[in-house]
Amino acid sequence: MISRACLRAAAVHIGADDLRHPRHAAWARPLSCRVTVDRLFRLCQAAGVRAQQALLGPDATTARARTAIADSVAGIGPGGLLVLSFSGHSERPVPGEHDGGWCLHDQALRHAETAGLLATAPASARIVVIADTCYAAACAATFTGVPAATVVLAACAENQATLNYQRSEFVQKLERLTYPGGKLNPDCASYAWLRRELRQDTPDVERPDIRANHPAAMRQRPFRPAPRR
Amino acid sequence: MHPRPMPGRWTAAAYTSLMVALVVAEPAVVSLTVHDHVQLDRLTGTSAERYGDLLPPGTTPVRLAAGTYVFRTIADAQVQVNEGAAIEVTAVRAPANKGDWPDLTAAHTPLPAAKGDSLPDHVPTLTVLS
Repeated sequence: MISRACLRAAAVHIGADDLRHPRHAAWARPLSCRVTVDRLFRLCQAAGVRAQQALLGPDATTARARTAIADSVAGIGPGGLLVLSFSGHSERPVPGEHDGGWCLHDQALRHAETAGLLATAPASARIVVIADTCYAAACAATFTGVPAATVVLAACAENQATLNYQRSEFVQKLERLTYPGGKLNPDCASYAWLRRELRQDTPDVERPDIRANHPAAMRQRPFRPAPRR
Repeated sequence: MHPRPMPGRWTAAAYTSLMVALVVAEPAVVSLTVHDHVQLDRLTGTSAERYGDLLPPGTTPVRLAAGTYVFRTIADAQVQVNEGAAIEVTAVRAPANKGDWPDLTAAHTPLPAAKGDSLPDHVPTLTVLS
């Protein structure tokens, strides 16, 4: 039997490790995308998210990402949960030009555009964005206008870089803190707790962060839809 | 890609990073002086494993086995190498194109690139003492 909560939750995982845009194609291929998507897929499954999509390699185009995000937003309904994750390269915000973006197969998906897609979610919904990339927290600035409570789990700050290793220490730690071995960690009762733990024992040059567009969202239990009224 | 122009001044929000590579031919002890919390990684092919505990601000002697190590810091750093130690210490210069990160000649191990498009706004200074 599928619980009611499961029907209200969806996830889209983007692992962009095959870049074709002339500006991005010469860069080192991101090494951790597939492992990260696997881990986050498993984490979401453990959290009760049944409707999951993974966009990997050449499938991680901006068109498919837009469609997947828009469809998922439309599907969760009031009080539902959407998890959106990205693993790959990022473009840093350039003041006066753009506010940054994720490098997908064909081109960058600008954070402002992602924010526009997320803004169509009901105000009572919950959105979790996991950014396993450089300048990861930068997207949070564009999500302030999203009506739904939106929490960004970022591998590093907006002015920091992550290194291209085969495994993401941030994602490994995230899984360990939330659903170790596929079981809920009862200590993980809020995003505020998760933030504290994620940042512990991390170097100043690359410190994970959690940002929320509404302060109350930091008190929510991670990866849970809103309680039914 | 072309590096973005340096801003006129760098602030707390500036992207500040110095990457230091240590190529160790024989086991040795180095003294690392840093001003922030620093993680030393040992490179293993295309990946890395964390080497030891987080280094606190101050001077810490670190025993290194043969291999290639990297650390990144947001402030000036100093590496003290004992005379005669078979260690190459290099401040990894950011390339003009992030796809062209250099291999250290002695390391034969590619250095990790960042997963972003721009170079640091400010690169702290490395001092090597021997």
